[in-house]
Amino acid sequence: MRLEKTLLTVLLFLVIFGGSVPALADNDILNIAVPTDPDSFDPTRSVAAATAEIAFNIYEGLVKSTPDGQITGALASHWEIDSTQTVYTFYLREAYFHNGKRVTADDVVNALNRARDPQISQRASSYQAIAQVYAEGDDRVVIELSEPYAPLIYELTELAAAIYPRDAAGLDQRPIGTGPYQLQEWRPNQYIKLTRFEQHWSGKTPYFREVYFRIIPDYNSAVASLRTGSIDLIPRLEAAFLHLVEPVPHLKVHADPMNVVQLLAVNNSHPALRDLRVRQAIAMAVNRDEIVIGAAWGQAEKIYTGLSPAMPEFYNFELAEVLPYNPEKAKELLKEAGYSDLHLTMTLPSAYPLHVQTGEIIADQLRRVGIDVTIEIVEWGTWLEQVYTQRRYDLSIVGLTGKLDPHTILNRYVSTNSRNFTNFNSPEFDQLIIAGVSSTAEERKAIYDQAQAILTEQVAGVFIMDPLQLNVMNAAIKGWQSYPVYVVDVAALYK
Amino acid sequence: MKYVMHKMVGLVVTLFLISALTFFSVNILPGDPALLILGTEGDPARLESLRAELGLNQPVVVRFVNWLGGLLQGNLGKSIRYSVDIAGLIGDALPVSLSLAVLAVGLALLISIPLGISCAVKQGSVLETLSLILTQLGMALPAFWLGLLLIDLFAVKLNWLPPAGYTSTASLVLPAFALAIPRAAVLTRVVRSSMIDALSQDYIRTAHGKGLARRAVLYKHALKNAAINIFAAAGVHLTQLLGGTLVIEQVFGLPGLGQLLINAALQRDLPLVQGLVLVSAALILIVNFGLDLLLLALDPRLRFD
Amino acid sequence: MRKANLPIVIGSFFIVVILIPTMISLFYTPYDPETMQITARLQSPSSTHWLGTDQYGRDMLSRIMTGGQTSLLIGFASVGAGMVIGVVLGALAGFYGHRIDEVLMRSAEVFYAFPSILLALLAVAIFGPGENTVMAAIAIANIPVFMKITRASFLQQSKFEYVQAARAVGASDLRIMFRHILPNCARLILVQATASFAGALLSEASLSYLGVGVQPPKPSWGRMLKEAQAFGSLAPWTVVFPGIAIALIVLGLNLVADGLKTKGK
Repeated sequence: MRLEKTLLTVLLFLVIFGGSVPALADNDILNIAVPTDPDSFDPTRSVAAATAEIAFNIYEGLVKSTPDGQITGALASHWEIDSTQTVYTFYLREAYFHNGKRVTADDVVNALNRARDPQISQRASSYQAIAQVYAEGDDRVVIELSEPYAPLIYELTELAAAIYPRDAAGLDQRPIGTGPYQLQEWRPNQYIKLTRFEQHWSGKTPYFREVYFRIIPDYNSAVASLRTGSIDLIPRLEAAFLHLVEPVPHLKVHADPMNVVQLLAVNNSHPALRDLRVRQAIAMAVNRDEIVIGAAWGQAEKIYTGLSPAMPEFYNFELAEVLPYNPEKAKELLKEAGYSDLHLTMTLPSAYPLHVQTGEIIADQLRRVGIDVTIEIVEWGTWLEQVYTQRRYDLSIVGLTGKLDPHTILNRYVSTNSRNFTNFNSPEFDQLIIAGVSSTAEERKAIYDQAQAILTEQVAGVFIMDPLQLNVMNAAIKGWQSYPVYVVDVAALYK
Repeated sequence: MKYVMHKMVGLVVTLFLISALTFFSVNILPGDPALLILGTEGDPARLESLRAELGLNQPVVVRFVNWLGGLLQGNLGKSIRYSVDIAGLIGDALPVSLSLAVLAVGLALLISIPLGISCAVKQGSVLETLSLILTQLGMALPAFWLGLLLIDLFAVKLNWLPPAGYTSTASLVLPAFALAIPRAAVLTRVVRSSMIDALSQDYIRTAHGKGLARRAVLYKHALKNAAINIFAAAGVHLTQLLGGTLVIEQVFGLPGLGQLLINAALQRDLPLVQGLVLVSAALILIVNFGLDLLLLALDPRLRFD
Repeated sequence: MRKANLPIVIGSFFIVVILIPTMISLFYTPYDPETMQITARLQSPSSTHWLGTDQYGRDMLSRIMTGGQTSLLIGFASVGAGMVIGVVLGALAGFYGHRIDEVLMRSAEVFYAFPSILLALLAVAIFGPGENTVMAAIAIANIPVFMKITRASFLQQSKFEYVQAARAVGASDLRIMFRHILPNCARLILVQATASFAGALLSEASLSYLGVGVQPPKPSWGRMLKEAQAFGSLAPWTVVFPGIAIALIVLGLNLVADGLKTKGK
């Protein structure tokens, strides 16, 4: 049995010398499981929610969102808006970057100018209204708009408007911000390690000294790690896995709205779908109750328009009965429109199991009213090209990430918007969106109510649900803060 | 020496062919990295300038030549997805995948050689029937279910080993078993079949006739003869594992080559895909070469000249 | 003689146990395998649903019966094609050696080192989505595997006396390769074939996520297993029954392959 002995020796050798990495589980170390790596920590480049979730702790803008969706000062202690609604003056507080340098008005001007430069920034269109940004002395920054643009203050909370040192380079990998945590190390497919920043302007020191965002793509094993204690927190667990958590006494769940609008995208330019009656028939064939149970395991809130009820001050709650579930009426509408044997293809992004499952259920529901649906599952790159960019599709399902301001979300259904991938075309809607940006807060509510009603009545898409964000954690972790945007506020957590 | 030189030239030619094939394949896939970077939230107006920044508006052939040029200077380039040097990324992932592959195949051999021999010697016994059925189950069980069962038992219930993530070498034990079990199932059958064949050869019968001790016959002659098939099969498994083991890496959250490759392919991160294919192809070729040498050593009659 | 036949009998029995319900599903299933009934989701096996229901309340028995059509077709077609091509090429390489071996094994290595995920993405980009594409992709991935195994066996066998003897009596190369040597390698090739068969059924599920394979709502065993990943511990029957179906057919094929060989001796 010499062969086996040799093999055994080789194996032992591997086990002993295979490499080692420091051990886990210290009281002031927090371990968070996330399924994927961030895309980039460069504020001008990042668009992924997976990044915003982590970067919230590293970067700050002039202003930031509070847990209830209000705007509060971050690097600016306060700000003034002139009577024309076009000149914003921000007063900077004494704050320091992670590299120890003080934040100057110059840094702010540089960061914001880069954010609105279409040659550099992935999110430049959000800052199009800005005419110029300049410093007034060392601690004042003025933003001048070409016309009033109410969403501006919300856009300034986004990662894209984060402030970093003027001379910073390689932010992709080595972000330098002013947040309560700084990035220590990023090992792709392994972890992102943050350490707390001792010089934060608030003077507060977060409880956890080190925070690891560990990449665990499989939720089964992430939950197993949570049970054994090698992970403390899983933000956004998929609902299908909740049953693994519920029976474990030392774990708890915070369920918050995710502020994601999941919709059945209906290509409004398709020869048959151009007919409003056909789109309405589709909307009336969709049974949201079944989807919430079948795909989201009951962990979602039904929606009826392009915003999520996670934004209660803007969501139009009156639209549930506009096109209610009614398969009989749907069949009638189809007959009336002359499409008794309609055949459609539904293209689904495989990267998102929730959307695939929703699509399977909707396909079944549409078959019941006589629409024959073929499902085609494609990976994300193909989806982005065929569905999102070239708009070569009939039906699809996707989730659109929520923002703090309704304009940013609804803007994409404007007929000329380059992100209007449902090819929605309503001149009336376009008018309302233009009016919305230059109106007062009270007027805006009414305008967006009407805009949402148009989306629903004319079926830009069938809006289905806002899935709950299931934040699962060890019962010992306290202080969880839920926000209407996608973030993990690590500084608020303690044990 | 001439043989080795000849093999080295062959290796370079094969690597070039694989690289070219990969490069042009990725280019005809729908979607490009610029589109994927922007996603549904980015600004479509930025698409063209981003493409220019990533060098995507140059013709495919020019980009391939540039990549080759970089490679000759020992530069694998920068990943689009992770914006770091590819050499570093692969350098981190390679030891994980390599130790996992070797560990898994080693374990599989450790299980399958004694089991396969026993089955061959005692044909028709209860042991044989039982191991036959068990090995079938091992083959039919999907890798992720096997992985999850192991995690549930050894990590959650017994708390012997970490459930997921790569924190120490102990993290590799469960995934290695998850990979080894189905392979042990196949290899047991290979060992058994080869041993039955070898034992029925004339020269073994002759050896028996000469009155050699039973054990000696078994190991000296038959096993040596069967070894060629066993190593050929084990080599197939080893090379299959060298390119990374996506499902098991995902279940156990291991930062291996498989995870890098799937992310790179889905993000159309061509430079990273190229680097990964090149490295794993080189590994496969080297293992195959080593295997050839081993087979020659086992049976000098295999030499062609 | 009776003993030698036992594996064939048992193996055939397993195959029949799987084949008959699959055949029946061509014209009858207890329920429609595709129609959902969300309110009846994840019900455990009962007299109304013998094997329980899945996450959308579809009858598991009906889905396993129908799923057999796709899964078995994919398994036999892709492994069969991969095996025939791989064995022929591997035989040529192992028998003739030198240049032919060099060229064939080099191309095999190119395909071998080419990642299967790229192969799948490429297949769908060129041929479009569908079941034929998945069969082609799995078959191509299997060719080099069979090539290597066959080549190694042929290298070894072609040195044995019986080959020299056949040559001495003037048998053609083809005859020597396929009448004399191949039967002696058959056992190993069949072992690999049954393993590849199991592998094909399982990887079809992963590939369908790239848009290559069987698309929902059409059932396949691999897909059923994969979908149950999230809720398998909640509803074990969603995992166990498709798993048994795969295990039975693989076990059956193996036993028959084994028995045939023993009988031939």
